[in-house]
Amino acid sequence: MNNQEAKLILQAYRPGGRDTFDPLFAEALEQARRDPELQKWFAEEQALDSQIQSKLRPAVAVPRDLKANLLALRKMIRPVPWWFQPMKLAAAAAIVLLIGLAAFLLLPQKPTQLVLFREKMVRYSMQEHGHVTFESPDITKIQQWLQTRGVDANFELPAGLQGKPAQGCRVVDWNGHQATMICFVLEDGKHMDLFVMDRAGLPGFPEGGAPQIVKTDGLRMATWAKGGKVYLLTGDNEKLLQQILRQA
Amino acid sequence: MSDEDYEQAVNSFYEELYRFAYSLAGNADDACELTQEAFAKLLTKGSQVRDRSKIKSWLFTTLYRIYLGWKRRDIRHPHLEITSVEDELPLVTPAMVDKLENEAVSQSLLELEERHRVPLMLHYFENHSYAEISELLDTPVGTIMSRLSRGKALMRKSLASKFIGTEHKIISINPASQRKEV
Repeated sequence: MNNQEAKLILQAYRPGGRDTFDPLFAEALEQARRDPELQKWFAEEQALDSQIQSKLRPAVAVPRDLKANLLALRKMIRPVPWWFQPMKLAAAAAIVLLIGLAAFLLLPQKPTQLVLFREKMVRYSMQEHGHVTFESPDITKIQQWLQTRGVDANFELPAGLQGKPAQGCRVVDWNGHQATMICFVLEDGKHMDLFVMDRAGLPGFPEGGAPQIVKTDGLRMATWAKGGKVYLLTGDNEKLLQQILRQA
Repeated sequence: MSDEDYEQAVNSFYEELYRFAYSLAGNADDACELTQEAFAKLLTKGSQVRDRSKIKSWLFTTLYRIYLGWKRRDIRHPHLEITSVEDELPLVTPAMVDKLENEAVSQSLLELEERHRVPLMLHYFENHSYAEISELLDTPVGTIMSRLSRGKALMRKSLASKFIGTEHKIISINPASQRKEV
């Protein structure tokens, strides 16, 4: 190993001691011990790395609310049902085949996609850090902002939210489909988020029916489809949600 | 996965995971989202991890795959590249770095291309051995060493430039102004 090769390896050696016993570095370290010039270079390299490290660590500070958000996920997400687990799925599929493929195909779409959609959107709704990307109280400006980013802004607000000032919006992902989240803070600081997505993102969801309302840990969620779009409204105030839905 | 196991996993790994996500995404919002997605998968698919000692590597690999999925759709993460590096920049010393703000040092790292930035971030945060980094990024150790070396050289030129008060010219290949967030 020449010094150039030793330097390439020693550049990766970390000053904190993590690599002390990694055999990857043994030969290069030994060479540095024998060669004063290489040793001097290595000491300078380590000093510089330590200094950069001491500046870098505090600069990438972990957001304060992240841990609480992660722990809160437990209350929103249930374990994957047994019929989603590969081994058990295979066994179940064999049984289903025995019953008959035709009967299997005629079964209605499982509601799982809707449940997963709700769960994921609720996480965005509860996320405090970076809750919205674009801030504006004006829905028209929000729609313009969405259009400049190639996002479909052709949606219809529930009548109960029309004319209300928004906080802003954000575009989020649902299985490769774009969903728009519009945040509202209404009277007395009541927070609501409206998610809108093309119905192609939830193909089995029936259009035109009454809003489906579910409650999870104090949060209310209403889902409905209209005009080729799926809407999900979240809020913690049931009375207000009902009021907006009655006007929808 | 029991509540206790989940809480223990959050307590043990969320900070490391967030920093890894930050090195990939380059901003706090996306890093938070990546971290949440990885832990959400742990809740729904954690039962697949039979050996509890593998949870850390499972979380990192899962987060990396989520990120690659985002990238495949080419929908976020402006790609920044240093396009002009001054040859006459001074050699960076610890004293020079000491005079720079933490954010300036962090920015010098974030300016790098992903293939240099990610190994360098993993290098500085020291949470993984090189064998683990190699497995996580699915890249041979030798390649990681080369990228580290090149990444360090580029970062130091950026630091030197910041120290003497000049800026690299940086162009956005996928400009942030046209960024589509999903």
